Formats: sequence, C-alpha cells, structure tokens
Amino acid sequence: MTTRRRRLARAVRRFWRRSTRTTPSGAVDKAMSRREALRFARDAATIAAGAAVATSAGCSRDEETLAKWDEHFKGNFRLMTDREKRETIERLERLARTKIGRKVHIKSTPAKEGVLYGYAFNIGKCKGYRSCVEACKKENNQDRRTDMAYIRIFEMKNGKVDLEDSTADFSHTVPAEGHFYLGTQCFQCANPPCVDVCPVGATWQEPDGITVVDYDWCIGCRYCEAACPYWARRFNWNEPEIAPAEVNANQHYLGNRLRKKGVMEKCTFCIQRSREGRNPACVEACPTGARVFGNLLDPNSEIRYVIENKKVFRLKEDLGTDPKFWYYMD
Amino acid sequence: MIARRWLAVAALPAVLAACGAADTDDAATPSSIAMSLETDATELRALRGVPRVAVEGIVGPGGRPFFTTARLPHMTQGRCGLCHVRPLDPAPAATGQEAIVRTMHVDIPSRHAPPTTMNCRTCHDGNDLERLRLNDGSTVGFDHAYRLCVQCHFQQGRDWAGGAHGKRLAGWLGVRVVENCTACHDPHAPRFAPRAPEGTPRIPRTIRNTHPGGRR
Amino acid sequence: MGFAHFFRDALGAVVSGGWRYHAWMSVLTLVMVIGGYAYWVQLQEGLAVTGMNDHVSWGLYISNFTFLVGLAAAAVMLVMPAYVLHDVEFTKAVLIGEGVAVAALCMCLGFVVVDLGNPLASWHLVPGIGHLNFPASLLTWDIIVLNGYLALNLLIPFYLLYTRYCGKTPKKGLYMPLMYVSVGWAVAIHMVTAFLLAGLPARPFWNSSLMGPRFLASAFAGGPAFMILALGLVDALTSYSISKNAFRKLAMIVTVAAQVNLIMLASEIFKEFYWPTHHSQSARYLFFGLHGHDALVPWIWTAITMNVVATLVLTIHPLRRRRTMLYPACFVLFVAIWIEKGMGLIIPGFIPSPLGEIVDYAPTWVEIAVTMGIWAAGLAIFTALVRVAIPIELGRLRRPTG
Repeated sequence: MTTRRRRLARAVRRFWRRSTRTTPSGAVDKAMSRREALRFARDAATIAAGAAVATSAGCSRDEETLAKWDEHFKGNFRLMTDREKRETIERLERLARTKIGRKVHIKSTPAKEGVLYGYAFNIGKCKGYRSCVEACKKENNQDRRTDMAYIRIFEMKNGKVDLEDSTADFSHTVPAEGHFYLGTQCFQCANPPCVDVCPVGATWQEPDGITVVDYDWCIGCRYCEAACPYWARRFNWNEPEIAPAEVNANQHYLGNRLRKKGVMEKCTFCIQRSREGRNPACVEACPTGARVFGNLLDPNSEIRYVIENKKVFRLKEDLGTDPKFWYYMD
Repeated sequence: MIARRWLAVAALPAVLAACGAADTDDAATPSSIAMSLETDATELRALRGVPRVAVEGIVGPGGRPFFTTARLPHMTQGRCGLCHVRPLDPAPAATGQEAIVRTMHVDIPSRHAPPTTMNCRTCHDGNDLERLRLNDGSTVGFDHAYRLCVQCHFQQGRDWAGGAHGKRLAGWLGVRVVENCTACHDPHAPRFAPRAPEGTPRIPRTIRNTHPGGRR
Repeated sequence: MGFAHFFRDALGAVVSGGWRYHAWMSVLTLVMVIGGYAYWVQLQEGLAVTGMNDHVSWGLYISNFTFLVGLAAAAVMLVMPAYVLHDVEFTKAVLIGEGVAVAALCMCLGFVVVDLGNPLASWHLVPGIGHLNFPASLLTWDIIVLNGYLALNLLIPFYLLYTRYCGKTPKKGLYMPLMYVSVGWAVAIHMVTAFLLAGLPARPFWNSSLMGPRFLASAFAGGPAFMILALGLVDALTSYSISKNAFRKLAMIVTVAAQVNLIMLASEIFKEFYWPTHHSQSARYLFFGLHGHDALVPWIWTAITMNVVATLVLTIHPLRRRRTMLYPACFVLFVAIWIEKGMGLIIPGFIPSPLGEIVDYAPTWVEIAVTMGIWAAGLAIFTALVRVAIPIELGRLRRPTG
C-alpha cells in the first residue's frame, strides 16, 4: 500500500514537473504535455486499480498492466520523439516476451537516404508454385488461423489479362497448360488512395516509398481496405494466432511485429529486411527468379534495368495510383 | 506528410526520365547516390560463406563487375575424369550417343535439345571432361557455366547480367551475387519441373472457412 | 436552476406513461439488451463473428449507416418549408422531424462505432490528443458534418422547447440563423457521405457522379416517408394534432423525390447494361448474379418492385390522398429504400473484389442483433424526445413557478 502511494506521489510529481516546465515553442511540446496528462491519468488509474490485483498477481502482472496502459495512450509513431520510440519498443518487446515466452527484437530502422523501392514481376517466369506466399506468411508473422496472405498468385488464361476470369485457389500441378501466372501484393503506389482516406493518419508513405501502418494507431474502420484498387490490405478479423516457436523474432515496428485483432495490416516489402539491404522474403523464396527488387534511384539497379530494357506494364494505370510494381516478360 | 507523398509522386517520373538518359550519358549519371549506399563495398551477412566466382567476360549494369555462385561445390557427380580417361569420340552418331547415355548415364536426362542439335560434346570438352567447351574451342570450368549458356541464350544472358533474368542472392544492396544458370536450371533438362503448388488460399479468408481450397 | 428543472421534468415525462407506452419501451429495451450482448460477443471475438471479410469489408452496419444519414438529412424537408419558406402548416411537424434527425444521427454514430475494429482507439480521432486527417480523408469530413448536424438538431429544438417550457417566446434572431445553417448542413451530410463512397476509384460501382444526387433523392423520398408514418402515429396516439395540409405537402415531397429517384435508377441501369464493361460487374452481380453468385438478386428486385409500386400509388392523386393508401405506400417505400440504399448499395461495391474475386455476403446473428439493438435505441431516443416535446408544445409541461 505504501509503495503504491509512493508511486502515485512520484507520478504526480513527474506530471507537475513536466507540465510546469517552460516549453520553448511548437506543437510537439503541446502534444507532449497532453500526452503527459494522459500518462498521468493512466498512472493514477492503474495505481488506484492496482489495489484489487496486486496481492494476488504480484509485481510482474502490475508491470504488464502498466505497459498495456502506456501502450494504449501512446502517440502516433510518426509524431513520437526518439525517446518515446525507444520506450514503446522496449514495452512491446517486453509484452511480446510475456505473450510468447521468447525474445523478439523490434527495430525502427528509418528509410535510407536516396532509396526508393521498386519491384518487378516476370509473368513469363512465374510458374505458380506459391513459394513466395508461404515465405511471406512466415516472415511477416501473419495469422495462421485464417491463413492470412498478402500475396495472391492468379492463374490466368492465355490470351487475355483478365483477373476476373482467373483463379487463385488452384491446387493442381503447376504450371497448367494454357495458363500463365500473375502475382499481386501491395504495389506501394506512389500516389496511394489508402493513405488519403485514413481518418486518423495511421497509414502513410515512408520516404523510401513504402506505405506502412501504425498498428497501434489504427482504429479499424477499414476505409483503406475499401479504397485500395489492388486489394492489398488485410484486416485482423480475429485475434491473430501464431505458434510461439513460429514467430519471426526479427521485427520492425512498421513491419512484421505482432499485430492484434481489429487493425489493418499490409505488405511492406518486408521493411524489416529491405531496410537492411536484404531482399523481401518473396523475392528470396521465388524458385524461378520471377521477382526483382531494388532501388529505383540507383541507375545501376536491377529494377532500373528491367524498367529500361524490358517491356513493362502496370495494373490499372488508368486510376493514377502510380504503382511501384511492374510486370514484364522475357 | 502530404507534401512528402507528392514529392514521391513527382520523383517517379524523374526517375523514369533518368532511365532514358542513362543509355547515352553514362558518365554523367549520378552514381553518387549508389556510392552513398556503399553498393559495391557492403556485404550482407547472408552472403557470407556463399561460394562465388567473379563473372568473367560479362559486366552488370553501369559496367560493374559482379559475382555468380560457384557450381563445383554443388555438383553431385563432379569428377568425370575418374572414368573418362580417354577423349570422347570426336563425332558420335546421334544414335550412338543415345545408347551411351541410356546405359552409362541413366540418371542424366537429356531434354535440353534434340540430339540433332546438341550432343554431349556440344557443351562438355571431349578432351577434358572436367571442363566445358565454348564455341570458339576454348574451355571454361564448371563454375563459369554461364559463359557456355549465353552463347545461344544471349537474350537471357543479357537479362541475367542486367538483372531481369535469374536471381540475386541475399539483398538488393552491396556486393552483387547472382545465381549461376545451373543453380536454377538443370543443364540437361533446363525447363522447370511441374509440381504441386504450396498451400491453398482460402477464399474468403474467415474463421469459418477453414477448409483448404475454399469456394470460389 | 432552470435547466435542472427542465431536465427533471423531461425525465419525468419520459418515465411516465400508459401501459402501451411502457410495453413499447420495454420491448425496445429488451432488443437493446440483446444487441448489447451481441456487441459484447463481437468485442471479445473480433469482427470475425460478423459476415464481413477482406472481400466484403463493410456490411450491414455501414449499409444502415448510409441509409440513416439519409433519414437524418430528411429533416430538412420539414425545416425548410416551415422556417425558410414560412409555411405555417409545417411548424408543428418540425420538432418531430428534428427528433427523427437526432435519433437517426445517434444510430449513425452507433453503427460507425460498432463497425470499428479497435473502438478503444477512437480517441485518436479527437483533434488535439489524436490526429484527424482533415481534409484528405472524407471520413473525417463525415465525422465533422454528422456531429455538427447532431449538435444543430439538439440545440435548436432544445432552445425552442426550453424557452416554451419557461413560458417565453423563442427569439427568432437566435434560432433562425441556425435553422438556415441546418438546411444547408442537411444537404452536406448527405453529399459528404455519398462522396465518401464516390471518391474511391477502386470501386467503380460507387465511383459515379450520380452517387450524391441519387443519395439525396432517395433520402428525400425515404426520410419524409418515415416522417409521415411518425407524424401519423403522433397524430393518432397523442393529442398533438398535425394538420391535414402538412401530410398532403409532405406526401407531395415524397412523391416527387421518389419519382426523381426512379429516373436516376433508370439512368444507372441504362448506363450499366446498354454496354456492360468490367465496371458494370457489380451491377450485374446485384441485379442478375455473377458466375452463380446471386445473394442480392432477390433483395434488389423486391426493393425495385416495392419502389415502383409505392411510387405509382403516390403518383396517383386520389390514392395518395387516402390515408389508408398513403401509410402503406410510405412504409413500402421506406423499406424499399432501406434495401436499395443499404444492402443494395454498399455490398455490391465490394463484389467482385478489385482483383475479380466473388464472395457473397450474408450477415450473421451478431450483426443482425447489434443492428436491431441500435435501431431499438434509435426508436427509444425518438420516442423519448417526442414524449418530452409534445407536452411542452401543448403547454402542459411548464416550469413550475413561472
């Protein structure tokens, strides 16, 4: 009881000190103090409520509750200070450890200077093996219960490019006679309709061209899912389930960290890999080399070679979304 | 945020325009961006320990040298010279070759081209079966098999050097190591084998629709 | 002081009544409780317990939302004649209309909230502590206009009722400007909601310039149709009489709007089917079914039949003038527009998916229960508002000591 009261007193002192300190200028400080106020409310509420659980649950449970409160009242990732980013990542790592009993590493690697990611898909080479789909699921910690997948491989009839006249749930031996295969995922549009429509700014385009989602800021209205002309966004209709042993511990805040029910997610070109210079999991998994990934701003990159030397097309050019995903063939 | 997005939108046509310029004005292309990323110097951890050879006679985009994966460490029947102590018959009859392959090399398919077009000696050096023979009579080791392939498959060779064909290992940044032709294609049967696809998407993906191969 | 009295008396008026009133409110409460339980299940399990999925990502909730925005907007059809055009016949009906608007808006907000996957994060919408992506996101526009319209429709009747409760005459200079604002605002809430859908190039079925006007036409048909039914009930069950002329004029509004709505429907059908393109696939799915999927076909044809029949009945003057024909026609029209604008507008927008996949949608018991719960809440709000407004308007409920 006394420790709790001491903690409450400390919270009050901290709040008082921060709210009365002279702020040089700007909205960030205002937002900070607002957030401080929320944090104070959280501290007070948790400490007061702690009376009920503390005796039976002990300290770690208390800390978990505190971390969850902090998580609930944290800000949008884009507006966080470096310290706030560090704090939330530390909390998320701790919570993940409690949840799956394993250590995870969550990065917040920013975009590299002079990099704009682009992707090319060789419809002449894809054979429909779907190795990319499975690799993507494993890499990005998607819900195993419903088998969420960012990638769709469409089996298209020769003679036309008509998605409606194609199938994605084929299970016969591939490649099938008279068909070719076309894969879709998030095209990381340069002009993404999904970003505009988000009412809370929970999704945005990073400087390296990757459209990301702040899973903890998303309110789950699914307007972006309706707005995407490429059906690239996925919603967590249920609490995502994944066996602790299968969790990919190499994570990024804006990428494959563990999600929760009721929020959107999407392909990020494996931001946890690509920002380290590695290829996305789908590129790595492709057994036929049908997937090309690279830096559009590097004139010597493979992706630039494809765009400059092959005949390419993009899906739904008429919508003006300017996808950074090109199809080509040999 | 919006401003940044528009910046990206504006940047894309510029990139594409620059692509066109790159052909004629190679020296002026700003490779400084690439330099700042240490494209040439960086080596991703995933590449460490990958046996590789520097590609000979072919350069990548921008005249850059690159690496390809070594073939020899992956060969299951490498030491041909152990049996083939004498040179091969200089001009075997098509049927003769068939017979030899059927009896001595039943495990080696022969589905690259009809025997009227290719026979063993088209690629293997008859005098030294540890080497591959190029059209001009010179020979290369198995690690440089790509040099043999691109003689006929010059279009694929060009795309392989450029990056539209084949597969780059590990990452988009740093040392460029691409798979050798023979890493993906069996030289004796280069076409990819048909097989069952992995997994089956559920359409729609719901907690109720848990049967594989959902309805369409 | 006065407010405390007012609210106490208002509460008194709401909780007292005959057995029929209590039975009605009890039924509504029961439905609300069932809806509340269903929502609790949804909160626990996630939206997976609904019929929605990544293909059809909005369903019954958003369908009802779009429909109810229209119902809310329809209040303007009572306000405008009464106050802007100074038609005295309408003045008594206006308060009822605004009650409908308030109830409809509460239901709208309810439907949006139950549709959220992460409702605990909805504070992210609050400017200052959150981040409202205005003006880029049409959804933020909708949040602003809906809440603004709700405020207007609470403020104006409250002022009118409160002044009358205090035995004073409302000052025109105070409420008239708000009345004018609310007329424009009513159109705005509907256009903005239409733009919310029409602004999506991903969904050709919605991405049409007719969306806004058609929304308005159907709203001004379905909304006043509901008003006629509500006013009819008030007229029959209470001593608050509504003039025959008000009914006649309202019925005229419904008729014209229903006719315009049908013309627009015809225009849409022509465009989609004279030369069907890939963009017509949703319409084909809706009206005829696609590759064996035809979940909506019976619904839309029922709606169209009801729509046409009701419009015909309303168009023929002798039929429209008879109450025995007017009420059923209004009811049929209301239901027709609910189907057409709810299920018939939102769901087919998602079918086929942007990548051509066809997945039928059917609401689950959770969705249906939550939807009924919200409707019950809306009806309860409306009943309570009317319950307070009528005695004040009739002069029965007054501030105790002058």
